[in-house]
Amino acid sequence: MNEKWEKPINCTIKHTVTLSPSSGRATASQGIPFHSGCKAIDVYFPSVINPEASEGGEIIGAVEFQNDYAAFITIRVKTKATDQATKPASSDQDWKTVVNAFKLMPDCHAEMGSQDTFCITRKQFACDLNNVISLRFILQQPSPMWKDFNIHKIKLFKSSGNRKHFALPNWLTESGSSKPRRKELEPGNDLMTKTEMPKVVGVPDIDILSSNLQQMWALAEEAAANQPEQSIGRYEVDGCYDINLLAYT
Amino acid sequence: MELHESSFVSLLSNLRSSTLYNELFVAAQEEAQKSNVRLSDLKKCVQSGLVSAGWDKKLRNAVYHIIQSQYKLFKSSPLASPESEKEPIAYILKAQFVWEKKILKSLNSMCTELTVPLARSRSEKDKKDLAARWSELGVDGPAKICSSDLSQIRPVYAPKDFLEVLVGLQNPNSANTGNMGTYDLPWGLIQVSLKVKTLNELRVQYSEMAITHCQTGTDDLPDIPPELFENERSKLGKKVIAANHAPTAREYSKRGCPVSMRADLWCQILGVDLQNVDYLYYEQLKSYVLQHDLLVDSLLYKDVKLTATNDDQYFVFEDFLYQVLLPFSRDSVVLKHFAYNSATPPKSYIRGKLGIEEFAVTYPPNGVIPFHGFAMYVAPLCYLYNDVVRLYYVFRHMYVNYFFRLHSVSSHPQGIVALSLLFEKLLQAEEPELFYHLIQVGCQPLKIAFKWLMRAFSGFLASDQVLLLWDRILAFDSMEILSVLAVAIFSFRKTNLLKVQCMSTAEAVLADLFTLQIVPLLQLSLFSK
Repeated sequence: MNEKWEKPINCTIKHTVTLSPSSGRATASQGIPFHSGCKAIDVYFPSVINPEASEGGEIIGAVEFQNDYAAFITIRVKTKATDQATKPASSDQDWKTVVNAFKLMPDCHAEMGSQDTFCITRKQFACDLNNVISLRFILQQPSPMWKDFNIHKIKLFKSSGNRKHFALPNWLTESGSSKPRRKELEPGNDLMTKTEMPKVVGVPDIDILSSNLQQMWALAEEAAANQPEQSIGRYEVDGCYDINLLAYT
Repeated sequence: MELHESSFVSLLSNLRSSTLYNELFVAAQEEAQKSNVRLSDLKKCVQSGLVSAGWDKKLRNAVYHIIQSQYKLFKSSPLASPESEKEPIAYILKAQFVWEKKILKSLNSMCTELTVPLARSRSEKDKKDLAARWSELGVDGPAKICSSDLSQIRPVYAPKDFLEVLVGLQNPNSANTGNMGTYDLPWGLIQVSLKVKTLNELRVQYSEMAITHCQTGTDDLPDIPPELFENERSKLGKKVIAANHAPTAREYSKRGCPVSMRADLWCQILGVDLQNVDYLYYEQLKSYVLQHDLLVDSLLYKDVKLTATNDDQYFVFEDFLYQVLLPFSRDSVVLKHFAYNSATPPKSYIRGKLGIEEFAVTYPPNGVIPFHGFAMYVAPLCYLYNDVVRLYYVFRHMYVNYFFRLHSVSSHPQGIVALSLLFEKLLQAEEPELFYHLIQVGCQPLKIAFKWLMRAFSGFLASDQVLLLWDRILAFDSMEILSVLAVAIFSFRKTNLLKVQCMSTAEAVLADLFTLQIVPLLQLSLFSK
């Protein structure tokens, strides 16, 4: 799955800040710590303009992180107005909510989802993430059950416009008659025919030979791909299964 | 959609690697060669030919079972590591790991004490001898261990030991307020906060069991005229079996399986459809048993002797049990279930090749170390199947679908932790007075009920009742019914339990459950309030 978003975007992820009513001042005066159940993480991008933009239109496509007892996540972004922006009334820098209170734990009092790895993709975003200056994760945990909550291993990925689709068989995606499976081999065939080969007496036509071989190869590949999963249930090594003790690793 | 597509692709690849694929292929070829097929409507003819030959049913069942097994592998996120697929919560995974290590140590120390290896090959003479005694292994056991040796073999662990592990589970991130009855300090023993169903949710889930619906096992008793329910029910049952469609069989079984049809219905639900190759595979497993002598054999042997042989309902099946349990321990297909089980199969190395990866093997070959009472997962099934091979495959399916969850530490909603918690929470909610009283006299209800849950009540109820209970596990594809029944039993014996003053009397009140009728009990506790 990871190959869809090859490498994470280069960015600076700040420490998690716990929000409290007396923000800025010390909260120790009361003695009892106040749990606001809300935290924020800021993310800054080194290039102030379009992050990592090289060929126009590249935007943040996915956010991946491992949850640690946060119940909801909200993602907001600050974008820089582009040159084409026609609204002078709005300030050039604006906060936008991209994901609003996405549920990470189905029941905030129960374990489910508390340590899962999540990947929020463009489909869940309210708007496209381009021209982003900074990004803010807002975490919420209304349950008093948990000592602490956070998210870890945050990674942001570019969206690579044409994502690979799963290989659905021809007869499902195409309504018409399906083409032969050896389609991928054609470029190879072309190459062989284009390069002029000197004819040697006694050797059969290379083109025919190679196309036959290709066909055999394709058949072998197909047979290998359709290997039945029925196992013969071997458990010993070379017929030997003499064991003294169990290994602890 | 993306998810659907990916599961669809894996469904197809699963189908393609099944034997059904080849069978369908051959059948389609035969269909196409028929003389009345015209080239212009070849596709239509082949399709209708396949349908009329009953292949569509087989295909439907295969798809259903593949989807069912994929559902077990369902991941919360495609990016999750394989480890978190087994168990997403770190401290629970760690607890399972520590527990496994403890089991390994105890097995190893047993080996050292008895100076026997975990596995060795049998001599030719032993092989022949064992093969000759295959159908009467109960007489002197698989390894012919002398009696003094066998007395030293002890079960690796019992339900009591496992309960201690579950009680010790504690979330390091749990805020401690120190108030009894709050989330972090519950009245019960289980400290893990998992989402469990409430009685109302269970009512909806088990609505087919409502008092207004007649149930097999209660409304077809001999003293009730058969024209009221039984006749209709068995007529419908015959139709269901003829249809040979797993979801239909499942739906029918929700009200219990008639005794004569249970064997077939369960096979349909579990997708056990024996071919020649399956018989061959069983023979292969049997030859593996003959080839190697495993310490696990002695453990299984001892377990059968301690449990089933002592049980007047099951002692007759002793030889049957060995013929299922011994091949089961050699069956490496069982290893596949560790993809969705929080447990990890124990590993070892061939003698003299310690640490060399090419010589790493799992021990036992199926990766399951039996505990005290393991044989009881098989025992009730012996009443259903007289063909050992069929019995074997039904048991294997039952194990990899349900029973493995009853002895591995996991946060899965069907796992033993969730079932124990469900029991405690239901009992607190439905019988607060009783729960409070039992706690006051120092008797945690789970300490009594845990062994019932862990063994799925096998050996605690009359065998016909166990089968009626397991009907519901299969039909509703859920083991929550076990917790509901445990609560129902506590409610039923409430008057006596309220009088007890110590643990041992409470245990005595609940010691004999053989007279209980589970269906009315379940109905009472689910629907009467």
